[in-house]
Amino acid sequence: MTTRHKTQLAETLKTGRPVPPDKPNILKTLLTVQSTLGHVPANVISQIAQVLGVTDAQVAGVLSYYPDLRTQSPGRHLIRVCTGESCTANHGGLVLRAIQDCVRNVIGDSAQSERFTVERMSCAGNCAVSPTVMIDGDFCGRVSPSDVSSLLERYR
Amino acid sequence: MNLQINGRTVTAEAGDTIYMAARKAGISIPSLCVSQQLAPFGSCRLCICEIDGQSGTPASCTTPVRPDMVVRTESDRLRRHRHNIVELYMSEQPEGSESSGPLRELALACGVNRVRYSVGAHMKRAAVRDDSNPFFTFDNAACISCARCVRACDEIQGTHALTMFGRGFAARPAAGAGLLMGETASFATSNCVSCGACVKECPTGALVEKTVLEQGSPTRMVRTTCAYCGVGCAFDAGVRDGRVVQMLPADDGPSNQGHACMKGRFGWTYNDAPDRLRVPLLRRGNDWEEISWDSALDRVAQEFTRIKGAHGPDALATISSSRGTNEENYLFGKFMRCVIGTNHIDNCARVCHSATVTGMMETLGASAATNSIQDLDRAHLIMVVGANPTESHPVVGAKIKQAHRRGVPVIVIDPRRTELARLADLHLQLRPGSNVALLNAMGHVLVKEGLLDQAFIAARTEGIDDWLKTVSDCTPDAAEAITGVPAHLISQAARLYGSSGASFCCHGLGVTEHRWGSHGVIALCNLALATGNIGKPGTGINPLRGQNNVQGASDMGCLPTYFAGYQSLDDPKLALLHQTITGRPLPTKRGMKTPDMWDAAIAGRLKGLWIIGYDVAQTDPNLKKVHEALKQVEFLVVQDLFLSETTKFAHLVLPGASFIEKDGTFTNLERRIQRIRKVVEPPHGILPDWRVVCEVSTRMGYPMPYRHPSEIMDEIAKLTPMFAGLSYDRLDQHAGLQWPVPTATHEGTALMHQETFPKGKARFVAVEYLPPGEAPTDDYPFVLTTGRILQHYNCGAQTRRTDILELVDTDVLEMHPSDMKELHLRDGEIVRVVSTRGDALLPVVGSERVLPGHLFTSFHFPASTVNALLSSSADESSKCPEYKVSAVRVEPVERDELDPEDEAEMGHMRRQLIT
Amino acid sequence: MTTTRCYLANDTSSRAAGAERLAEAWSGRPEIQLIRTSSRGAFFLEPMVERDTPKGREAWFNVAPDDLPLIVGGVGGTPVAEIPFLQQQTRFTFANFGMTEPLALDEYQSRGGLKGLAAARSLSPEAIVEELRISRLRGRGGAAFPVWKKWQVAQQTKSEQKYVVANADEGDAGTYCDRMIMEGDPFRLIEGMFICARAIGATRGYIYCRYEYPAAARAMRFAIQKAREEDLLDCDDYPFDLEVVIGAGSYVCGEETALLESLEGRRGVVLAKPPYPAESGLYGKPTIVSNVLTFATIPSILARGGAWHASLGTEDSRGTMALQLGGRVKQPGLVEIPFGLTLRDVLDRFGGGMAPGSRFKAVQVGGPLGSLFPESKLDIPVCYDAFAKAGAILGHGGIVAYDDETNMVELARHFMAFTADESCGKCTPCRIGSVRGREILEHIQAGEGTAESLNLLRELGETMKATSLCALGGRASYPVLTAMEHFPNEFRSKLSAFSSQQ
Ligand SMILES: Nc1nc2c(c(=O)[nH]1)N[C@H]1C(S)=C(S)[C@@H](COP(=O)(O)OP(=O)(O)OC[C@H]3O[C@@H](n4cnc5c(=O)[nH]c(N)nc54)[C@H](O)[C@@H]3O)O[C@H]1N2
Ligand SMILES: Nc1nc2c(c(=O)[nH]1)N[C@H]1C(S)=C(S)[C@@H](COP(=O)(O)OP(=O)(O)OC[C@H]3O[C@@H](n4cnc5c(=O)[nH]c(N)nc54)[C@H](O)[C@@H]3O)O[C@H]1N2
Ligand SMILES: Cc1cc2nc3c(=O)[nH]c(=O)nc-3n(C[C@H](O)[C@H](O)[C@H](O)COP(=O)(O)O)c2cc1C
Ligand code: SF4
Ligand code: SF4
Ligand code: SF4
Ligand code: SF4
Ligand code: SF4
Ligand code: FES
Ligand code: FES
Ligand SMILES: [Mo]
Repeated sequence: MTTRHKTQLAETLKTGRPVPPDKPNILKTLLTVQSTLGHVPANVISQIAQVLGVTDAQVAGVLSYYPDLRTQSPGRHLIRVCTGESCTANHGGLVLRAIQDCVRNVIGDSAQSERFTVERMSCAGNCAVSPTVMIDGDFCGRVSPSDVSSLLERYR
Repeated sequence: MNLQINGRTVTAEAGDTIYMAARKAGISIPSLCVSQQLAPFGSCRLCICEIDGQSGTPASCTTPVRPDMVVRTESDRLRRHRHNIVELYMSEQPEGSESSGPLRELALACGVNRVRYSVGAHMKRAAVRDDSNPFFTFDNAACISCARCVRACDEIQGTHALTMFGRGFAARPAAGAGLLMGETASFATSNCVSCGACVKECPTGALVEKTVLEQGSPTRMVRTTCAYCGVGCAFDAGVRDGRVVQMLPADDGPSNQGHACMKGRFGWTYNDAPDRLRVPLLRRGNDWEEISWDSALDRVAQEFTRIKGAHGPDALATISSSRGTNEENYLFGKFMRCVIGTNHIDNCARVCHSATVTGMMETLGASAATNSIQDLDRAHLIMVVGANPTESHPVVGAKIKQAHRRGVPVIVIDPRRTELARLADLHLQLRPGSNVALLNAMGHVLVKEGLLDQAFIAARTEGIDDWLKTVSDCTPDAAEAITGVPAHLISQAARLYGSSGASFCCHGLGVTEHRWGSHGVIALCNLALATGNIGKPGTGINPLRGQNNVQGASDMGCLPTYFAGYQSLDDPKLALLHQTITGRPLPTKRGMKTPDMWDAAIAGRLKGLWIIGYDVAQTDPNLKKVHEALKQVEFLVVQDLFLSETTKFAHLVLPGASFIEKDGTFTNLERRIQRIRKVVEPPHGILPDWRVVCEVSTRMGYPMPYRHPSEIMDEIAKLTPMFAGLSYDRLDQHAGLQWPVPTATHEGTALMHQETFPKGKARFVAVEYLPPGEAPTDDYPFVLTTGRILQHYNCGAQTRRTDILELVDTDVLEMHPSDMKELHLRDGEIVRVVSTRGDALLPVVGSERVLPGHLFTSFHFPASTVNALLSSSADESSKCPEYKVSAVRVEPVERDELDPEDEAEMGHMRRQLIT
Repeated sequence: MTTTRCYLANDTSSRAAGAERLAEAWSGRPEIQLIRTSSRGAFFLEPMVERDTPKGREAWFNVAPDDLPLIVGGVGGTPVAEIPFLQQQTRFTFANFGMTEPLALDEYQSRGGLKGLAAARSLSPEAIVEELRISRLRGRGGAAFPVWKKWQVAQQTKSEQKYVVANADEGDAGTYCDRMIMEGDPFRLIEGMFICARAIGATRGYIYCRYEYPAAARAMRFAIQKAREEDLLDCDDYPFDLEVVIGAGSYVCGEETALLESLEGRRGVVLAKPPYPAESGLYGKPTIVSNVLTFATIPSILARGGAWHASLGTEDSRGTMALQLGGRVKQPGLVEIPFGLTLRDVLDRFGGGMAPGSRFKAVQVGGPLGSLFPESKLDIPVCYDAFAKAGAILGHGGIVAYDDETNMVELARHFMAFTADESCGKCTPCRIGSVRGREILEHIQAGEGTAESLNLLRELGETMKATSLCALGGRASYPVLTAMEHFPNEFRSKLSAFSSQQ
């Protein structure tokens, strides 16, 4: 963690401290930390637990439960490919493969290795224009494997 | 209501689940995840059933009963599903891992002899272990992820050290957050307090005691009572090959209901410690000579006879053990009164709750907890004053946490931010020694806001006017100046206490161990009387008595001022009865309290002293003086399990039999008399303490021919109205009996003072705030408070001889981080604490449990000589020492002053603060 | 030069289909003024641009940036009223879609919004519940439980604090109507929740919105803020506090007890019932958890009366249902119609058949836990009872069509893998069973299965159905078992014993 991260974390946690009668909310706090730092590093668990007045185990339990919480820092761009039924029916599997191939090439280039993280996601609620790819916050619909390289080009 | 299960009509209560109803009716349903101690959960799905008129197969452990429902717990369909579930369990056990007892039994019962899934790549449980806890291990291979352990830690113990980790197939229990840091063994680095609740709940043996793992499962269980603290947890001692291998808290234990703490559950292995005393030792200069029991007993009899002859009965005194049984304590008193002819007998209650005894006697007329531990379930508010139950009385502490979880408000009055203080709705963090100012101000608020229970006051009390006059000046603002507690918090606490409908107050040494300790107790009693919080369920004044039998030792008359049952030494009727039953007169002259004995010894008036199970040379205050006194005594006998600081001064040392090795009874902090039972033979023919007294007495011409402690109890019953209904036959029922038990058919007294007080009415006693014996000065700027930590017990003789040492191996000085900074101290650095009496070397740690200017340490390690710092200042009426306030300063220590070996020790000292 | 007012949808799917590209390309063009509306849900036509004409709205379909002159010139538009996909629908809950700017409260109001709330204000809490009883509305989140019964329990349970929670977890693949409501007509959800709050006496509400719906969460937060500013959430002495809370990607958090656990910030694990949330839910207080669509249906019911609602649909399925078409249909999109049309009709009339070049194989209704229907089973009426009778579920109304290229064994594996991934891990049949099920199917897929594998899968499926704690494990085997039932040859042809006989 950089110093900037540390101050950001401290700030985030200050606002996360529950004011009675509000109860501490671990998930909410972890999501806030993640939106600040991009992930929740394992070594800040104790700090979070202390601020919330809960135990390390309680934080770890929540952190390890939710697929969208991550303890590793992701690439600069997070590509999430829907594997829901509608996308699957519309050959989303081929899109996923195309993306993986494309990213593998990028990652082969060490200067670029922190550019992308690829994940599967379950239905993105975009089924009517599936298959769906979500890059950072943007949704792309009706993606075909041949679109992939020009699509990723936009995310440096 | 009635319902039908498997064709049988079964009676159940609303709120019962089908599983509970079946269990009560003796119908057993296969199950793994359900527990009597835990809320319905429904994870294993083995307890499925069929219900007429309802489709599907719901889990019986989560389905509530309805009147007239028709349930089947056995059918082909249910059996098939159970088979398939058990098969799934078997399918996840890693290759080569022996599926453990209960699961294997279940597999047999369900006919699973083959796992059909074992083809192809096939996911298994991760085969990892966590051996990092000193007392138990976790083996993930044997686990079924039923979360009983996690639920136990949350719902029973309230420590939340465990979590289910991960999700789906991989979900499994883990301690702390270690797994996310890549450690698989994380009990040791978590906040686990080793209460063992998870181990007890585990249905598969995935969590198991190391003693059981190493020595095998017990073959015989014997019900007994824990011999550490005053909670009096009931245990089943598991024996194998003549050795204890397990201590399992009993579900039907009336004060613990299946729960326990680290010490009772795992801290009994001192019993087999290699340095247990096995034979009597006679001093030969600086050496000990092993002598026979016969010559040792002769020696005591001779010396006592000699001293009595030469100097009279008053040159002899005894200090009886609050760790011993009621029967032993009674006999010791009898020995002093009938054989020696003096009332010079005292016990450890002197340094502990003697101020409670005085304070409660003066106000309520009886000096023991008015209510029961179970009343914590009935209270609408719990106020904890100067006590740290999550460490000192952990099972009570856990119960308070459970109540808090249910939404019962908790007020903590303590200078330290203890675990309960952190959770509490209100924490009044007062300056040590200022209880009376704070409690009177609460009274002031009660009066001003009309929160007095006028009807109760009129009918049940007297003397309120004095109190009203006193508290009228005690405004919260004035109290804020003395106590440092913001006035509005004091008012808020008073309102909560006065208006909850049922306020349960418990207190500890933070009230009693002060210069004006009994005033603190009186001030508490006044509040309870003023609000009618006494004589009703869920209320009361409840001292959390310390040692396993400190209540009993006093009850049995090991006091210089009372006979057994707090009967007056001047009572002519008692004198007559005593004479009839014992054949000897009852001495009426009041005896010496322990501190008086030290003065008498130094003055040369006390020549012979017999101490049983009490390490005065470590645990009494102002050690220099105590040591001086012990040196002066001509003949000092000490009876203990181990050599101690006190035996260093002894002329004769007698080995004692531990609670595992003898029969008897203890009285817990709720006045409950419970049996202990001989589980194993004492080694080397050691005589239990009661036999020693009998032998010496007999040798001094007064035969005590008791064959069994039950006969001693019968005599106690005859002599003491409040125990008149006691007998071993009755006590052998599992719940024990709470005194008073006036007749042989009386059920015992769970709630005292329901209709009247012993003296008719209770009395308000006005007390005013007076400052502690010592205040910080420029030279001694810190206030030092001493007290306990969870892991060790008093002088530490027992807990230091167990694996608890792996968790904590030193006393530490807790100092606020801001003070640490100012003094440029580092965590773990050894410092010298200096008072006007002496000094002590301790490692210092930064801790936010104490306020700036305030220090805390425990006194469990003789090496730290903490008590050398303390003065002889004590509560005036009870002589309870002021352990809680000493003015000290903290100095850095030069490197060359330290023993390099010690320093290395301290360098990786182990400590775990409960926060 | 005059500017032409044009309407372009701003919801996630429209943007993903290219609406954003249009907006970017046309920004700063003086000839048009772009109004960003909600989407009509005819997603196969998106990006669709509309403009006002004297004959009403006209629309241009699948618009590219270069099409601007056509639109401005009024060339080649289709009157919206003549789009068959929309024409044949009966829109109440989705009546505003395509018409309003989602965050314009005045527009909402001018199109009849807040009438339900006004009606509710004039009724006692008991009378509101009575109106719902008459409406015979059933929950749209999946379990189809009568809404009034739940509300009555919460109303009658005494507590100083009660909660209303909108279930916006919308995890079923193939469903998106909750997202559309939150993005496109957020005040409708707020109105529905507030009516509920009045009926049960709640003062706090939460919208538990899945992590994947950032735009919906933004819209809801904005709308709540606006409603607060306009004192909409303050009615007499009744302040109602509403908050959007974000989940973190766990499907099972759509299950109501898991959702409440998650809302409290814990592991989103399913709890055994009773107690039901209506008696003891969030922080142990009475809590109504209902689906977004359910809440969104409430304002119309209060405004038009329960009897009106009860007059639509079939015997036990009253009102309209929002069906969401996806997969390989030609015309994916949102369809609001009264219950009762057959599945075949829905697919033909609205879906427009299969996507060009593909042939129908099967359709799945009700998300990843829903059953598969082959061609021969399509004459089933779309309503709760017919589905229940067939051992299927309507769920949240998602309908996904598969074409003949679909490998049914692989699809079955995909379903079990989904359950294994999403299992909360609490109960044994689902925690271990789903993994074993997936493994068996992998085994079959790899050509190593035997007839015994199929039997074992069937038996495992039965045990999971009968003994799982929640519907995730309980229904996980339905798509698998229906795939085996309707396409037995595909499974059999993969078995090693079978292939070796050839
Ligand atoms: N683990 C463990 N358990 C034990 C023992 C042990 O040694 N170890 N010993 C047993 C014995 S003998 C006893 S007597 C009991 C004692 O049990 P407790 O009464 O809990 O004992 P302490 O920890 O000494 O002190 C209790 C609290 O008093 C607070 N205190 C100090 N000064 C003041 C004050 O002026 N006002 C108020 N309100 N509070 C103050 C301290 O901060 C401390 O938290 O525990 C018994 N149980
Ligand atoms: N600084 C400071 N000092 C304190 C206190 C404090 O708060 N601060 N608290 C004081 C209080 S409340 C108390 S109660 C005392 C307790 O202090 P002690 O009574 O000295 O300590 P314990 O460890 O309870 O037990 C004393 C001895 O009894 C022995 N023993 C145990 N069971 C038996 C038995 O069955 N038979 C025999 N013969 N011996 C047995 C043990 O081996 C041990 O050596 O400490 C006091 N000292
Ligand atoms: C595994 C599982 C997932 C669910 N997911 C959702 C969901 O995403 N949205 C939803 O509204 N209901 C979902 N439900 C149903 C809820 O438990 C609950 O019945 C519903 O929110 C109640 O609202 P309703 O009465 O309006 O239908 C799910 C149930 C299960 C068992
Ligand atoms: S918990 Fe398991 S074990 Fe429990 S009742 Fe239920 S089935 Fe049974
Ligand atoms: S031993 Fe007690 S504190 Fe430790 S994990 Fe088990 S239940 Fe929790
Ligand atoms: S360790 Fe024991 S109690 Fe805990 S989950 Fe595993 S089997 Fe259950
Ligand atoms: S709470 Fe006290 S009585 Fe119970 S096990 Fe612990 S030390 Fe023993
Ligand atoms: S069926 Fe699956 S998701 Fe539902 S409770 Fe059981 S393990 Fe959790
Ligand atoms: S299935 Fe991919 S967006 Fe719904
Ligand atoms: S015992 Fe009922 S589900 Fe485990
Ligand atoms: Mo004590």
